[in-house]
This record gives sequence, C-alpha cells and structure tokens, in this order.
Amino acid sequence: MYRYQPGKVDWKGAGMPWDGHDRESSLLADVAEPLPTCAPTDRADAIRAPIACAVVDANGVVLGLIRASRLAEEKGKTAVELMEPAPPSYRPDAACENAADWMTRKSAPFVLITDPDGHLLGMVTREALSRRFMRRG
Amino acid sequence: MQLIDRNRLAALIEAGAVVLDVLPAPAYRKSHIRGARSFPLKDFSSSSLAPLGRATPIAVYCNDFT
Repeated sequence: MYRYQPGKVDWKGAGMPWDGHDRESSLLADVAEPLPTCAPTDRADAIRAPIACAVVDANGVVLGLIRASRLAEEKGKTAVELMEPAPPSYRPDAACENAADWMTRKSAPFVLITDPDGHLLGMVTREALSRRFMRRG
Repeated sequence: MQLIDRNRLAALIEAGAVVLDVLPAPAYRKSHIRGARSFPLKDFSSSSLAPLGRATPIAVYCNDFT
C-alpha cells in the first residue's frame, strides 16, 4: 500500500486532474495563459516578452519576474540583474475571485501561476479574469 | 506503507492502481483526485479492504501533510 503524503492539496496545486463540486467554480487554470521564460544569464536585449518574462532555473522553477518595461530600459543587463525575485503566485486550483481581489488590492495587471514546487504553469491577466466574469454574468 | 510523491502517484494511476480518498465523504464530494474512490478512514478494516484484492496496488491520500 502507498501513501501519497503531500495529499490532495499538492495534487490540485500542481494542476493535476481532479473532480468534485469545487470544479463548478471558475478556477485560475481555466483562464491561465503562457508566459515567456528566460534563463538568469540571458541578456535583456535577447528576451522577447510583451508583458513580462519569468526567470527560471534549469528545472523550470521560478526565480523572479521581469516586466517588459524594464527590458526596454536596461538592454545591456542580464535577467538575474533585472528581475524582481520571488514574485507572488497562485496555484491553478485557486478561485478566480481570490486572484481578482488580490490584483485589485495590489493594482497588479497579472499574477503568476505555479505548482507547489515553484514550477511555472502560466499567468492570469486582469483582462482574462474580466472576460471570465462577464461571461458568467 | 510506502510514502510516495506526486509523480509516483501519477505513474501508479497510469498502471491501474486503486486510489482511495480517506477524507470524510463531504470532503470527497467537494474535490478528489480524478478516479479516486471515497473510503473514509473510519471505514478502514481488513475486511473492508479485502474486496479490493491483494494484487492491485492501492494508494491512499488525505488533504495534505498535516
């Protein structure tokens, strides 16, 4: 017999398949979009990101975040020099309302989605959440 | 009982293991790993597990570490 010790919270937080009444709510996994990534040593002038870029290590774990405006201003610097370390993130099974509240309070245009091990799964923008809420009426 | 991580559980599911959610039934209905059966801890006994057979691997889980 095996025991999956990290439990249901870990499974759902990693975006693995699950079912139940909670699926009826809008979850961040339903509105997540891809986010460009780069390595810590990448130079700013080589990074292409319309909104932002996640700096990740060799295993895909998020180290930091670089907004597109910084890339344009500091072309000669590397990703690790420009990044905001340890950016806030949500799990894919979090309710859209929770992320929307946070983004409103922090005036954040988007939020990262990561699994419990820190691997990037995507991002959710305010626009995507607004479209989702408008569809629901 | 062998402790496993997420990747190992995914592999066991792929291989046909039986997955048991040992939380109370309302928690199971709220959310559960896809394909898992509700088997609250209070119902565990050698006789209740017997129908699952000895050949099929069984994995259990609850909410989290705590």
